[in-house]
Amino acid sequence: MTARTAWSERWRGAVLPAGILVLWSAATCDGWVSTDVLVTPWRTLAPLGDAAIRTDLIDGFVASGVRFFEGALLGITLGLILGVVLGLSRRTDRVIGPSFHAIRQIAIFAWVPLLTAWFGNGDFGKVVFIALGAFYPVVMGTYEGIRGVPPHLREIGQLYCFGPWRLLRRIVLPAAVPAIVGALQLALIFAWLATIGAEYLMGGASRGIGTFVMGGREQMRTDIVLLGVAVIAVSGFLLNSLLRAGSRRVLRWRDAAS
Amino acid sequence: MSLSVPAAWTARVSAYSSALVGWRTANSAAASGSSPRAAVRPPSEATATRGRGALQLRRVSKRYEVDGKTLDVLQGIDLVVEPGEFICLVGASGCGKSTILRLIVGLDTDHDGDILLDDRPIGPPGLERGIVFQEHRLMPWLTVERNIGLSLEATGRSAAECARLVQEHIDLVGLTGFERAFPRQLSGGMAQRVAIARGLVSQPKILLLDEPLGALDSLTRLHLQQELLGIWSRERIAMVMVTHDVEEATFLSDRIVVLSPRPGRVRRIITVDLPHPRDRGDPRFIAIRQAALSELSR
Amino acid sequence: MSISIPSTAQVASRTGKAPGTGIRFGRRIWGFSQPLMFPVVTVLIWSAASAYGWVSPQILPSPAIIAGTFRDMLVGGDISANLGISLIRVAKGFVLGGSLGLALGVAMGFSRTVEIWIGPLFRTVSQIPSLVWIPVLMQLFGIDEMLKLVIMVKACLIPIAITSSEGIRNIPRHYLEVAQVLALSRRSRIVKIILPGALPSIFSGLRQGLSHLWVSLVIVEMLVSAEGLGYLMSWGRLIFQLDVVIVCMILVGVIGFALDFGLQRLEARCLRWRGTGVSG
Repeated sequence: MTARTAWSERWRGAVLPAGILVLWSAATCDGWVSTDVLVTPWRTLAPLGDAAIRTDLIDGFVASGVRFFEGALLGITLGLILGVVLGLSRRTDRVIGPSFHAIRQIAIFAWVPLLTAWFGNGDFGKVVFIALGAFYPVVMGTYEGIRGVPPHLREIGQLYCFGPWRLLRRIVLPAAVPAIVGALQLALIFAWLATIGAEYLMGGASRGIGTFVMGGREQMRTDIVLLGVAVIAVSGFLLNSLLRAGSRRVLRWRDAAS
Repeated sequence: MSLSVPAAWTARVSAYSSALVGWRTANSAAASGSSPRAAVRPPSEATATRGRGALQLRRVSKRYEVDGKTLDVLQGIDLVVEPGEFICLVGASGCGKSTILRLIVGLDTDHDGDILLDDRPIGPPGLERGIVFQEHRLMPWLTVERNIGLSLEATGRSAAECARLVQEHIDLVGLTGFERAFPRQLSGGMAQRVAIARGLVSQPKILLLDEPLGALDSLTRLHLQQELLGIWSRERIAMVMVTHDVEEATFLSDRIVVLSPRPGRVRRIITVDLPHPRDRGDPRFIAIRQAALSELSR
Repeated sequence: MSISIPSTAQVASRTGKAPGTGIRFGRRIWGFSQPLMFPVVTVLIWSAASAYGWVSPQILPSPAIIAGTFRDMLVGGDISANLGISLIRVAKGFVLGGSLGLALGVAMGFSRTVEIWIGPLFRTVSQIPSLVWIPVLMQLFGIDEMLKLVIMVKACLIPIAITSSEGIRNIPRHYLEVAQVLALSRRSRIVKIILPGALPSIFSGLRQGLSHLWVSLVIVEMLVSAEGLGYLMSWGRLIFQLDVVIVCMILVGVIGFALDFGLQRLEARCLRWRGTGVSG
């Protein structure tokens, strides 16, 4: 496709979003829609002028971010351990595997009421929830990555008299890395979702970006709600792009070395 | 039901007329070894659909533009295929043999020169030119009979007629009993036979085969070469086959067209006037095979 | 320390004949019991914890209490009422979202024009998870049935549209060439080649969509509903009846599994030509 057609395609693709933006502005400006429901696009950014709101937003975002990292770290670590164990030991897989898969059927958000009952609405419960969100994909991905290592690769290790530890380190884990990297990507996205969801569902004992949004709802400040949602959406995009770039880097390095 | 009356009526009329004509053609059909059901087919229908099937390529050339440079894939191909003749195109990779087939069948229409079938320029793909690919390309979600029946979709024949033709060709390729099987249940050789039946069932004037046996193991390949020969002698339809196996070409074809690569040109056409069945150990066979091989390695 | 059941080969070599039914039966029992070991042990420890007072029954009700609560709720009609409402919502959402998703996916798959105009917007919207949309949608649609419908439709429409459009566009060129050389009409090509070829992808999207839909519904019911399984769970939490909460959790898992299982069976029937050995 020539450069010109690519450009014209991009323009045409932008028509619909632009149209929606125009419709949105018109609807709110002319008062078709009450300000309780929607505010104009530029009014969404207005709250940033208010210092108190600004600090709320930033503090909330930072607090959410901290919980995100803590929860993700916890969940990924535990997930890697369980995933490796299930992947390597067939016996453990037969015993624990089915129970794990059964519990996995329960959507993680269904855990929220139980977690709030045990840990309250504070940070700890939220971190546990986030860890849960990261835990499942990591276990699945690690398990499948290890299981998916072709048997003939293991045989080469046996031919060269690799002990089980060396076999794991030099052959099994490197071969499983692509699947594990993919799982980590998924886990971080789920953890981010869990971070937001935790704040929506577990309430505002502590600060957070989700709490910020819900707070705006309670105060009937539509502009705050939209601002918060926009920040969440943008942070999601950034996370996604970062993860994709990161995984490409890591996997390319692996490919070159192998 | 009212809908079935016209169908039943036309079936009866065609049955009467076929019976009338069939009585006369029964002997000739039996002599060529086709099934008793096929003998009922009126000869006028066979020749009408098939025509003569004379293929002619006149100064056919094909060029690619890559990064401003011109790549000649084919240059000045002149070829005549008589009706009912079996031709093999052999050559090293890159000599454009598959390209020639794609041009003939019409999947590729960008070329210089003329390609004529019965003195008429060929256009986009049509059922008068059948093709069998190297991969069987059967639809995995259709049974054997439905895959073969796919060829008859565009012909507008009645359902009964289609079913009869499909069954005939399943028997022709020796897969009776496998009508309801799915492609995943078939071996490579069987799947390729279904592909051949699919190519033949619409009664094309000419059948193109693009390395049809290339993906099979040698034992299956030898077996299918025999089958192909049997099918060809019964149907008497012109076949243009691309192969890299010179022995296969010598065994099957009336003429071997040796192509030279980059750009693809006809280097030499070797006539194989040995009678069938051919003995691979026969000195004349070996001589022809050697001649083709030496042409290739020049 | 571990029990090792001799393999068939070992038994055969030792006794000179195939293992008798006794050993085979024993091995089958062992096979069954392995997955059950973990849950059984867990339930035992759990019951003991409640019985011996290691954990307060308020915090972690014993399995016996949970079973009792489940029975009471079943008999009392709590479960049938709320679960029924949730399932009806699922049906509405999936039918609407599924058909819209298929329509959109088919349009994007077949028509490059549609892809150009709608594609970028669609992709942007689809990258933002439903969860993020919830506050905005609550503003726009309030908190009644409409909100739930919109969220469910959004949740399942996106994977279905994506997978069906990809399934249609990724039909191998080989098959399309066969359609060309057989001079199939456009309608034949679509009905006999493109749609069946895209069906595996479409089913994959349907399963993803249904699973997303179920989760989204539960979340919304927990947040802003006065009925439904999610609400029941929130209510249990509110009155600090963790047995109710746990019963609902289990139900959420079971229903989610059953929905996916049902679709899987349907997929297996429709895709019989694919044969065994193809996982979901």
